[in-house]
Amino acid sequence: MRYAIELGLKGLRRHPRTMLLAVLTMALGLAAAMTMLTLMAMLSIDPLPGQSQNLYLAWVDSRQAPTAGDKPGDDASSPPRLLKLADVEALSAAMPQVRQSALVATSLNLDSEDGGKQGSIRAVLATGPMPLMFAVPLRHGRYWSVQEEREHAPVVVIDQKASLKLLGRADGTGQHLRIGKTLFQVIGISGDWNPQPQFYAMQRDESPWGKDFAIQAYLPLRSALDAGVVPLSVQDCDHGDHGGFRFNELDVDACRFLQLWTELTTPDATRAFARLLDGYGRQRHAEGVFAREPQSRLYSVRQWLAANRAVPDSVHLNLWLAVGLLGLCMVNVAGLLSARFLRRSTELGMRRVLGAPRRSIIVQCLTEAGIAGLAGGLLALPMTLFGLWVVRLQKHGYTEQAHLNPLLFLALLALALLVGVLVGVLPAWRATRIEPALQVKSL
Amino acid sequence: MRTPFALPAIGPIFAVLRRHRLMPLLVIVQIALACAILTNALSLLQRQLAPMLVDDGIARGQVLLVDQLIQGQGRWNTPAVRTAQHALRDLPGVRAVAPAMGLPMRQSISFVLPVKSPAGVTADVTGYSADGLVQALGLDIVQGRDFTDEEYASTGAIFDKGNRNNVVPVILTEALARHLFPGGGALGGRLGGDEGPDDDSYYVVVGIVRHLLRYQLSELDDGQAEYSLLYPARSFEGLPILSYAVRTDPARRDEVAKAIPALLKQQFGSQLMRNVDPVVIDYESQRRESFAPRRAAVWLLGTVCVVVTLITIIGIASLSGYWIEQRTRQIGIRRALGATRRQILSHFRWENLLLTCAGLLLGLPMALAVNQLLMHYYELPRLPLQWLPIGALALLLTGQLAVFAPARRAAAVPPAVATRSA
Repeated sequence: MRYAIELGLKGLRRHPRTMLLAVLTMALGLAAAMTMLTLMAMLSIDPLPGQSQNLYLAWVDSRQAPTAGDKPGDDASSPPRLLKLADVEALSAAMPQVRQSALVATSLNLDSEDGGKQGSIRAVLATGPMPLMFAVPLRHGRYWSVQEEREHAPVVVIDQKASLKLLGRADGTGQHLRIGKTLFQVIGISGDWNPQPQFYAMQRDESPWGKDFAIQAYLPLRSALDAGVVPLSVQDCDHGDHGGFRFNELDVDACRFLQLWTELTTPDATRAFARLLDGYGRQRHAEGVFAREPQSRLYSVRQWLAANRAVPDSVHLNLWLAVGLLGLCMVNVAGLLSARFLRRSTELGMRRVLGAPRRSIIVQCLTEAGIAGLAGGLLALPMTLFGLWVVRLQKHGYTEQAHLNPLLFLALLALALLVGVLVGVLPAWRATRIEPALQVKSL
Repeated sequence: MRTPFALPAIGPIFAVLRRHRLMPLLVIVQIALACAILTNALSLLQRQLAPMLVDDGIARGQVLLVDQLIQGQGRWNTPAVRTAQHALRDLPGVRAVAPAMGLPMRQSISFVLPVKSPAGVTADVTGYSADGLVQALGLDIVQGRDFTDEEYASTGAIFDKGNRNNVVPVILTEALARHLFPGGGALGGRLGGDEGPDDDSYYVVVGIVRHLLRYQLSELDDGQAEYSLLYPARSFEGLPILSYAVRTDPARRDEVAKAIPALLKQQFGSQLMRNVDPVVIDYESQRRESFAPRRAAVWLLGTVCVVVTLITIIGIASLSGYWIEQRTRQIGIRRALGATRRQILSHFRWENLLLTCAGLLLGLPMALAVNQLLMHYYELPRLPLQWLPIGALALLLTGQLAVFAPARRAAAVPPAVATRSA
């Protein structure tokens, strides 16, 4: 047995050129597949582990009748999502036992009370217990109460960095900040919160990846609107020509600008909410308020990410290319290695004649092929690291975190080994099948 | 029998292929896989590359783009826009300034007009609505003329419906003119909206520029890169976001770029939305930045194509090399029986050709199937059929290239080999 393995090792050194080619080809295919799989795995992460499975985006079609400019294909490539405040509040009133939060993300100007320090940060304006539903970490103080929300109380939760910058200390609870002309009381301090991909307020044609989405302030929506805050976000307004879009105005009654999230923990609750949503759409359509045929949708976070193509098509496409390349490389390596072994069938026949058992021949071939596969797999590692470095050079917002997953590497190493072994088995088997006598005759 | 490609006896080739199955099978599978990957990668590559190769028609080294001027307190009004235009014009080194809605390579606002020509051709066209953009970008008018002062005066603002004149003069790109007026006669032609031109409300083509790319960077594919139209605008009432194209003395562009932010601050001051800084960038940098994702894709797809070809060559060369080596003795016998070197060479070339064709027979339907799958899941166009023969030809050449060296070696086998025992 030792001798068979030794022979296998020695065999590796013969015809070094084809061996090198085989190992390189294998490494190349594996590195391409590994690079793309790493990127893919990274892009498919759960944005809010532990909580995302309970969150659902709810939408009911409240849009106006389609006009000539609307293309029917628009809905398919990017699903509609926006709702009016009135509808959101009606749904919340219809099922108060279900946690619901309609939100919009915007950049917001915050000043210290004396106006000495000014900041512009990204904020979420929300109805309902948004920070609780979305597991926003709380460092100090508290979130706003139902009472405060009902009374449109000017209260705000900011994160530690904003507190440090605007109020001069990490725990700024109890102090005040100016938004527009209104003084808001800081009631809570949150920790960092920036789920990636940014799923909670995704907009059409906007990449949901990047550090810029970090939220630093949370406000009850009605309080913010009362203070004259106009969300800098997509609006879909009735009767507006050219979308009626303005940077400084928001017609709350005519515009859809909110995305409604619900927390549904059981399948029964999900079904009940879907029924409610559907019934609401039908009722409003019957009343003549919703112009289009009633339709409603409830997306889980996973479905919502897929519908919005959070993983860009180009990444899917590149993965397919890489897998195709891997296939081609494997066939190529199989060809190279079988040519090596078949070339030596005479030699293997000789060993059989001299009394080597079949098992010994098989071990010899498998050792040689397996080590070739392993070498290819190992060589793929530096090549993958290079590939990931190239990926990180592209500025897409999501590429910075492209790092190798060791488990994935082990899986592909196993694949390389498997290909090597499979390729080794065939010639070994052929060699063992030949009658030693025949082999000797042909010499 | 003079050329290396003279048809040899096909019979022996098939006889050999029937007897040894593993090697030909591996070659066929390799060709088929390579064909499926290569045709799809090539068509994707061409799609990414095409808009980058279109001449953008903009004066080199002279244009600055000023964008993202957002009104913080309402919407822009014409006097403010004009005052700033004049102030920019007065900067030393500036040759022309055009306030514009829509700047090349920057999609800060999107303005798309559905148009229909008398010939019944429709297109969704990108609108550049501006005052003096032809001058400011240095566009090359090949037919007709630029807008006149009168036309500027009589055409209302885009956002101001009541004020709109019924007949709007427009300037098209050459590519768009060819598309909309396939029979020629674009200059002076009329265009309508969705419904086509009617008697009292239409666009009339007064000029044609050689090139101008759309600014919707995701819609440059499928030959629509230059579907743009210029629309005269001197009224900027109600515009939420404003841009300027600035043409400078090439030697003084950097200096002007440095002076502009201060000037804007002085002109608009507190009118600008807080925390949104205006963008001032030279055209070439903007183009590089806007095309960066495309460039990356081109590099990637190009690498894939090269790697696939190389691997196929290596694979076929080594497999045929081995297989020919196996048959050294038979070759010697054939030579001894009177076959010329040329015939041996031709035998292996034909063998390779047959195997490649068999691989293509598998690979071409596979390429289409892969394309169908990709089309189903992702927003991709159908594989243009002309890529199939191109891919096939590329692989035939690859196959011939790969078999060249082994076949030469085979042809060099001396007849004496046949007399030796092994």
